[in-house]
Amino acid sequence: MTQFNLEKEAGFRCDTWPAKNVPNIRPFPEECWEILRTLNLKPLHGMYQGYNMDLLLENLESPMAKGAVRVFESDKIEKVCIWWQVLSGRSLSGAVIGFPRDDYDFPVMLIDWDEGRGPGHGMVDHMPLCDLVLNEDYRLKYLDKLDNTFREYYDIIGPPSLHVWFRTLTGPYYSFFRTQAGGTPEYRERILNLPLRYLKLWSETVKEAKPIEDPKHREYCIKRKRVLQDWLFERDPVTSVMLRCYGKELGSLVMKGLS
Amino acid sequence: MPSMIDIMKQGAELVNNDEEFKAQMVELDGDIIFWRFEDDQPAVTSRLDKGVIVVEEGEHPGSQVGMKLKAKVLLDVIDNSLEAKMMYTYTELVKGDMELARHHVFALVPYIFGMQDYYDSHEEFQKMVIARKKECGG
Repeated sequence: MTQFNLEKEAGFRCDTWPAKNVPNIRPFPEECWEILRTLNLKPLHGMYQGYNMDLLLENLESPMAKGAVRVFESDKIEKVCIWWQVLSGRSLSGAVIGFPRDDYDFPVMLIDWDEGRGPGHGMVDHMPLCDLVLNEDYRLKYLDKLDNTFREYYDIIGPPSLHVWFRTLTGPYYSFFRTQAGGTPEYRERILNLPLRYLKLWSETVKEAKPIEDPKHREYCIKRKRVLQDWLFERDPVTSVMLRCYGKELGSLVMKGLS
Repeated sequence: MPSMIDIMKQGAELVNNDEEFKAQMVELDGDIIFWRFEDDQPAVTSRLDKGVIVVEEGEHPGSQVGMKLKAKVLLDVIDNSLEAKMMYTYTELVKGDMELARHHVFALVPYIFGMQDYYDSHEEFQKMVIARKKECGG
């Protein structure tokens, strides 16, 4: 039996907060953490882009929502967060978002997950940090490793997010999926494996990544990464949920953890 | 045949008397949303009044948000065949913008989830939803 270390190392478990009527909750954050923990992560302490990340060591609690956001870093990763929330005691949301340090140009990892007792949805991507027409080698090096997985899950992918600003950030292997199609436990289990497959491939990319050698490319990727982070911080629909649940100060901090 | 206001009033009564949902709504106040149904009369306003859901007839002039949608969309959410977050996909905002909608409609989360619970557990409420949905062709 797999021994999950999330509770010991990150301070929460997927069942820390019960979710009524959600059948067979799979330990999704635990499974993500088993992959992430191979990246020699350490907790991200202190100030990050003007926000004190130490405050995220506490679990989140409001009358309507309970959960946790934990942020980590490594010598190659500027920040990776793992988020889990139970809304109204009935709906689960989770995310894993990871950004490279300025010296690296590997893609941004994105997993977003929402489900309750009925239908749910999720999305997964390796978001590129440069234009893929002018930098086709970037796609070949970092993204095409997703091709087999994308093809394997092609039957469940789509339609994409309705947010056009978000779609402009995504890569060619962006996948949006819904959990009601098919509806069987086997189908749900299969879908839940898709983000894990992407995360595993991202972890391999991180391990193999070498620092950027071209200073111009480095500056370009940093610029794009900052815009991507700003857009996620300001435009993600979950921002208004966080502000409403936890108030302006804590809600903004949570969003900074997530973007 | 029940109309949407009958269903929404019945849902509000059940949720307002549920201790778990009362605790979730305790801090909610002042969110006013009207629902203009394309295939149902009358329009309905739902508002949070000091932690209590109030459902009234008509489009309240003080609403921050107004939504135009088919009755079936909300019924699909109540019977759990449509994910609540996907409701916007099938809704036209006729008052307010998406930012306001996300902020104020979020206050209805306990109400929506509560109606989903009672659809499963309250026979009379379930019958109302099924009857109205059947009439909508659902």
